[in-house]
Amino acid sequence: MEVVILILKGYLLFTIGIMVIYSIRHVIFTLNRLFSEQRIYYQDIIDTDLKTVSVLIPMHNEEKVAAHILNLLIEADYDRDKLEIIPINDFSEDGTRAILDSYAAKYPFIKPLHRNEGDRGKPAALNAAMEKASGEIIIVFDADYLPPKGLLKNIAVCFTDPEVGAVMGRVVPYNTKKNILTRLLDLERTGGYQVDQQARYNMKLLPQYGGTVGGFRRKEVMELGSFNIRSLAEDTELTYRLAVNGWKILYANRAECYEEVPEEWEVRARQIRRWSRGHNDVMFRYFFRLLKARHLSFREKFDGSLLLMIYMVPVILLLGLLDSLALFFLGEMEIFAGLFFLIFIGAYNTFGNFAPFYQIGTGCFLDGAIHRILLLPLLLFNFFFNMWHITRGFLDTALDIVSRRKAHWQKTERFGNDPKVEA
Amino acid sequence: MSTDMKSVILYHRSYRKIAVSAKPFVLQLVCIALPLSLIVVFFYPEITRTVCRIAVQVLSPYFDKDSLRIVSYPYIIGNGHYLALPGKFPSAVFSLVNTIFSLLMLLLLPNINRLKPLLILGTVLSFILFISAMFFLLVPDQFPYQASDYSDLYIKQQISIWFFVPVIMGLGVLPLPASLPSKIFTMLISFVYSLIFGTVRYVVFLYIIGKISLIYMAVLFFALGPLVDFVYIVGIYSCYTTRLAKKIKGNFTLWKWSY
Amino acid sequence: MLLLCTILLVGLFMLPFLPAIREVMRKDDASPLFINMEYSKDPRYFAISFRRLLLKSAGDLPEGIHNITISKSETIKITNQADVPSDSLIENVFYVKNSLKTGSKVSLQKETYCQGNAQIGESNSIKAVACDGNVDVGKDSTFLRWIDSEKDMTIAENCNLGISATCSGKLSIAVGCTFMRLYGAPIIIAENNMISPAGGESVKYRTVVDGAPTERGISSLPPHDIRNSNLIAEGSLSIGEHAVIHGHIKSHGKIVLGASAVVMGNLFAEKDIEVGPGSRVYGSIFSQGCVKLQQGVTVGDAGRIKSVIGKKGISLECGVRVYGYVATEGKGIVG
Repeated sequence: MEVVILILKGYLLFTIGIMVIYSIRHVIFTLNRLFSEQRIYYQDIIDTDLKTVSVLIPMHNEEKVAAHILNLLIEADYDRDKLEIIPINDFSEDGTRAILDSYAAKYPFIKPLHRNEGDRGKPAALNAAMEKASGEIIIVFDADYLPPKGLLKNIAVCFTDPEVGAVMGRVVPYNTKKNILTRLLDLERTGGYQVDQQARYNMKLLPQYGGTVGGFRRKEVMELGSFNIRSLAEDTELTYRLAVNGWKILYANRAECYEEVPEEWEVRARQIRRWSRGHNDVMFRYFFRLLKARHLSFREKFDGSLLLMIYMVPVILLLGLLDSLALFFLGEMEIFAGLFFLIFIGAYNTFGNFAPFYQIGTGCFLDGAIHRILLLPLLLFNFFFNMWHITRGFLDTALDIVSRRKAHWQKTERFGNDPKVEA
Repeated sequence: MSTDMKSVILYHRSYRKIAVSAKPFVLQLVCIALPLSLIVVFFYPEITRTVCRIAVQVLSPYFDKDSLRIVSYPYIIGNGHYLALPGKFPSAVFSLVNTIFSLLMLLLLPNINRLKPLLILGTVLSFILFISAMFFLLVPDQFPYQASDYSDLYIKQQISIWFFVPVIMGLGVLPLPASLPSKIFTMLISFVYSLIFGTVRYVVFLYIIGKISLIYMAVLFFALGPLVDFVYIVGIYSCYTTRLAKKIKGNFTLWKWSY
Repeated sequence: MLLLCTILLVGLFMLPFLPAIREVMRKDDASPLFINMEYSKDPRYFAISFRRLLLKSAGDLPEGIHNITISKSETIKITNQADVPSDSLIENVFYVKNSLKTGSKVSLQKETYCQGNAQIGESNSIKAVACDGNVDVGKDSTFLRWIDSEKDMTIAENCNLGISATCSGKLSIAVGCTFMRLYGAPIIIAENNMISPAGGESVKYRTVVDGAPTERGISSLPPHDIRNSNLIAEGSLSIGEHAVIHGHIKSHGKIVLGASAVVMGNLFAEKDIEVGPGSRVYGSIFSQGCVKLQQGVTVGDAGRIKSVIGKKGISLECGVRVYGYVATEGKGIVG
């Protein structure tokens, strides 16, 4: 029994330590974003020798939104001779095919790929499209995104740097007016992009390629094996695969694009569970590879590890809370009563809603937003919601590994019939 | 040149930063946040004694005379104080009722599709209550705490909360481009808020433990403890930052771009 | 008292939520962050936008003083041809349908649009000028915002070019001028003041092959070295005189390019970039620090637009030629 108590106490200290490390990390990021020199992206470069681009848009039953993104991409200011758009009709059963064909008939640079056989899901669809694509650079959008006119140039320009393997832009929700969930997710995005990603870019750490509003080098990625079709977080997997092979991932805070965020809690729960499952799978595959990577600095490895573990932190915390519950009923909380609060400092600073409250507040402040900052206390209710579903995702990963079962891609449900940005 | 001739471009938000260095922030953290925290370190004996006295005042009509006693004990560098009081041990029937109730909640709440985040919070509370109720149902003699023990644990936890509140609030508000008096005022407000909140929570929770049941001790300690303190920390921070954002809107001298 | 405590506890717990609940109900700030969906990087954006707005509001108006709305309500002075005497002050938006000429120490306090050629006198102080013809600017003049020409532009000594100086044709700038953004095809810096002739012309341009090999871990290259690869340096990189690099160069420190070196691709550095006299860079140059282009450096090539971006500052010496765009958020200095 004494051994058990010792283990429980040790684990609680470990949990507190983890929470403190992540808290310090977020404090540093926030201060860096506010005070330090900002490392600018390459958006000011004007170059007539930009690379050829293939824009891939995976679509599964996207008749509600397909036309909108295509209409916007048609207006893009990228040289038409260097641009092709490949919407990927991935096993759709609605009117997606007809819509894509109608655009292809009108615009020769729109070249739909219709898939009805083979593996399903986004990674498989992207792989199939990359085989067909001719562009040197691949830019991926999800079907519900609304890219501005100059976004393609903004993303593609960074590949004039020979070290850049991928780039990620900033995602901005457009359906913020829908309900409290969309507003909270908007806050999350602000903290995550305006502060977290930009700080990681400033400090030359490892910004994450997010799978949409981003681009990568086609040939090089294909040489590295393309996307892992079993991965539910193919974007995270690509980030680490490129990083360990010496490529840099950039974050372009100026390359902004509208997206639709989930409007229902159930949908959000499935999304976050999938992210957790995918991300933790990447963590198990890449943790040691990251530490052994030749081309990465110590800082990149250290922060890359913390980033890899980010979806394990709520699991650690949940176990920590259960652990402290056990210690409580064993009468051993005496010594920890003073330290217990540190768990919550760390927890709330680590993932108040995937970004601590002051990081979100800082992001809103930098954006010039005002009243939305008042919503921060409502993040409390997301605390357990996130912890629960992330833990479920982690358990999914553990089961995947143990039983060698295959993960099946699950698309996030769309809501917008007419994704218009309401001012 | 007339004064309306603008020589500045309104920079995009992407590489905007505030036009001060980090040095004032560090100085303010050391000179304002830390001293506030140190007040707790040096004065917690007096603070805890006062809190206990308030608790005695409020609770004495509900408890027998002499059953409430302020206990002084060595803690860190001085003496901490907590209120010793008798607890209400749950009967078997009460434990059973709570077990059934919490189990029903555990089964019911996850299946309701509305207000998910609130329900998850409710599920967590139900889970802790379930564990506690089962404990009292199965091995009531093994329960390691009396009400006084809870009182002691609470005070220790509260001391650390009071210590950290100025630091957390400092990390939030001190970097912002605002006047020093407003930052100091905000931190003082949050500190006083935590003192008052901690005291009234102490009194009410002691009543629950002493007069209603010890069965709720785990719920009060875990779910309604430090997590709840963040509500007012974040609330005060958000109000302050919103006011500041409104005030500086249109003031472009506060911003620099990229370096 | 206990009841009061309980009420106080509940109240203090709920109080922080009240502003949040209020915002949820009122939706004062529920709109998505604004993204300009029409934004397209254009170095001549200000001038083109101004022309469009002005012509829309005042294109058909006769000569004289009128009230119009551009971005806000303005008075505009419209004239067929303008010869503004020295020491004059014009407080209106100024629309000249043919040529414009100003004397010395003239102050144009609002935007000016000239559809003919513009000859700006010495020591003028001008908010902004858009010109459809050629522009000649006298020495010691100051532009608060921008100056733009549809054709060629010539800037005399010691002018302050404001936020941007752009033209579709040749942009010639004399010594002593300061700037933030320049755009021209090409931009030519004080060619007459150049001491040493341009070098590196004997090496013909060759497109950098996509997928060229990459060399890492280099810190210096000797003079006359030839590399057919991209170069990535973890620290600073020094490239010797007359070296030829058929590739792109990236450094996490500083880059120093020796005299008469040739780089077929782009230069990227986390710190400063210094390009030696007579060197030729066919690609773009980007630095998170400062960029210094010494005498006779050429960036880009005719018919291809390239950029020189130095976040903290750019120094362009005599004889520098840039085919395209130059931008800094710090100080740009000529000469």
